[in-house]
Amino acid sequence: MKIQSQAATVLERTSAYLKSGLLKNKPVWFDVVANHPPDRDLTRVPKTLLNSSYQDPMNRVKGNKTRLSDQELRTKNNKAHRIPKLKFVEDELRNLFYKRHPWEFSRPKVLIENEGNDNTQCDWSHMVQFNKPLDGESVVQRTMWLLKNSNRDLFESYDQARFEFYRLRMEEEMQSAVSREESGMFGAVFPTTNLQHGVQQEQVFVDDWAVLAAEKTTARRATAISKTAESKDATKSIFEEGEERSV
Amino acid sequence: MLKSHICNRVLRAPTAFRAVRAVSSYTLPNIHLLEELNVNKQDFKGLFSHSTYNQLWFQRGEKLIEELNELLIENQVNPPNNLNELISLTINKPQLQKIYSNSSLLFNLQFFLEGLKEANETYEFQQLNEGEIFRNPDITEVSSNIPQNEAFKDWLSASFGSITEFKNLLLNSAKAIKGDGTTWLVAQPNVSESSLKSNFTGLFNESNEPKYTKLSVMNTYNAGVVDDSIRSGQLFKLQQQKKAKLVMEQEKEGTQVKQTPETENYLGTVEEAEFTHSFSDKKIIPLLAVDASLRNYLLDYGVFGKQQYLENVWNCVNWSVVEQRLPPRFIANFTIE
Repeated sequence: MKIQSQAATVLERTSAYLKSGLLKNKPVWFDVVANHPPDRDLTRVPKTLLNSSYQDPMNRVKGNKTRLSDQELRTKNNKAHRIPKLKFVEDELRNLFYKRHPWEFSRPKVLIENEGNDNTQCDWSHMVQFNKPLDGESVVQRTMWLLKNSNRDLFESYDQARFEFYRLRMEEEMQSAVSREESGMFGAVFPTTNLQHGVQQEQVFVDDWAVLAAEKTTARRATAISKTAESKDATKSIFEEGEERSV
Repeated sequence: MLKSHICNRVLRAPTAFRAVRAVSSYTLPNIHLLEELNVNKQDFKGLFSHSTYNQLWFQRGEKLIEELNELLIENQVNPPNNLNELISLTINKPQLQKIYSNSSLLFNLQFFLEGLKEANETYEFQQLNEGEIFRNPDITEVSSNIPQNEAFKDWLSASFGSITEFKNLLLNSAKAIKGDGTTWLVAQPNVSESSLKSNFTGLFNESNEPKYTKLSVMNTYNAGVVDDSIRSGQLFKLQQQKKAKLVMEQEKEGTQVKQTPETENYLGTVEEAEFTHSFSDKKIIPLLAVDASLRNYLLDYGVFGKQQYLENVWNCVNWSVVEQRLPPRFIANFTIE
């Protein structure tokens, strides 16, 4: 059997085989493809080479064509190949929330998941979750749950979720402030904060660098001064000459 | 009957810090509402069951008083009439620490219970389960048991933004306390005691009396007291001691970290700023106490019942008592912090 290069004619060829008895059973895809036939030939044919080889040598353009032009190489009808954009309401909600609450971005977030399905373990009939800290994603998921499971429209659901989030965030912040105060009253001392500790660590290297930088700066200045002294001499001589001339 | 009773109590409430003294010992003060309920063995409607308030006040209070009297005899202290005086007398004396803590615990407990009234609606006491953790917060504005006095409402709104925000702050602060502790609504004066004593503020303040400009919410833990002017400097001393101890230990081990010298560019830490601001030697007046200790809610509400207990406390706050405790408000044309 000759190798078939035209994939689009597969239906015609198969039906011919069936008719002739070459194939006894209908392949499973047969009906599906028959109902939804490919509407265009997806195979790409190197057209110009074909043309050029069978063209009348008299009519041939000057010189042999050895490669396709950019225009010819460009994919035609690329809409057929383009992956469609996926659009979700969740994404729009995320955008909205984080745009309005930019400081939520400054909270660290763990992106690693063991199974990749952590969301399935959450029950969004309530805002607080066991296996997920409170953040913007909670607001999005809770909004979606409310939208599906209550009579609220999108805006009402979002507002409900948002205000629940505010209340819980306030509570969380108070928890940490109070436990800090509580431990202070029980005698805890916080000699340095995390930020301060970072600055102190950095300062050791900055001190070393300061000594080195001071040395280099004096050296550079010394050379710069000697250079300017030289150039001053040079300009002076020119001026002197000029003066002499003017005189 | 009950109503007139409350009114009687209100009239006496502002001087409520009296644990009555007989010769040289104290006896348990009289809280009329609790006495009356206890006689009929009724529940404290909407907040405590009979056995709980019996344990909280009659048993525990009695025990605190007994211990206090024994300690007073043991240490040969001549007790003043006023519990507050006893607290300020003993707060800075480590050898009288037990007397101090007993008297201040008693004061806090009495202050909390005297600020309560029965709720309008009954609450069925039950041990709440772990589902309480997932309870969705109520986002509506507070509508139940809000103070009626317009001036007081106005002051609350000026200090906290709104009554809802105030309730949220108060209950969140109480909920965040892990062990024993009390959350207070207090009136805060504009200047500290020490600056009142040095005549500097005489320029603005002719009578040299603290003027109360704003209300705030604060926490005390264990046997802590609200008034900064008597406890001032304690925490600072504690911190200094701890730091000195740390340095000594490091010197012994030879692991002392080189301290960077404080240059003129040194801004100071957030802690230092907070410290000078929060514990600033002010004569603070308590208005309302919310006891957030475990013993208050474990019996009637269960381990997970703190939020519900606090909601119920809000419904039982006797605002007329709180209003009686209010100092005159001072509205400044400009503020000096």
